[in-house]
Amino acid sequence: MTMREKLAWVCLITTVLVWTPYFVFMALLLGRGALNPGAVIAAFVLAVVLSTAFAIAGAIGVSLFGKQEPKDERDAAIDARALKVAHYLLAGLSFTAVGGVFVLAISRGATPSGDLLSATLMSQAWLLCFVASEVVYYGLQVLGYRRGA
Amino acid sequence: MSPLPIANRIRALRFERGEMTQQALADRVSVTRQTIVAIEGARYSPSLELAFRIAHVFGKPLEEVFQYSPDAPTG
Repeated sequence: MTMREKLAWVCLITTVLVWTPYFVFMALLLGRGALNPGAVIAAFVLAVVLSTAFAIAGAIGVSLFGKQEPKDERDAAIDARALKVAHYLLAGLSFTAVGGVFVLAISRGATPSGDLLSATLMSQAWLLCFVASEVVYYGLQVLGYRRGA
Repeated sequence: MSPLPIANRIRALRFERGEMTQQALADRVSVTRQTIVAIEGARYSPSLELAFRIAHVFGKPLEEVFQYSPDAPTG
């Protein structure tokens, strides 16, 4: 396994481990009608700190116990393919999220000026799109390396 | 995954060159060993420049190292 494949695994696992509980927590808050900015910001800061710490620890571990290798053309091809898919996914999901939040809010009886159409909910919807595209990006890198090309 | 339409004789040429290892070839052409593994297994088509570099290591013309097989199924 190359160093870059190991780094892709580290990023994939870190992203899933940190952000899955985060969004489960956000869904619980939303279900209870308690999606207030204070709780969201606290959880977000914690998730960013944990994500950064895990990623740094993983990168240090990989570089300490693995062979340092320059990025070659196959690495670049795998990265470009994954990035292309993740880019279109992020663009598509971002547009869908805006409509999805609006439909969710209306179905729960919100008015356009109500709390459910708040900047907090929109920001979480967009963050979910971003994290999903990151998972796909690293997942496709891992898949590319596993397939051999 | 189906093999790509570009076949190669890298494995045979490595053994003709005193059982050169994949790592040794990778170091000579500045790629990872896994890239050589993928090229040998016809799972990755190298760039023209890398193909020339590999052929240069073996001292062979490009067409003696890589062969295009248009009838092969593409992956």
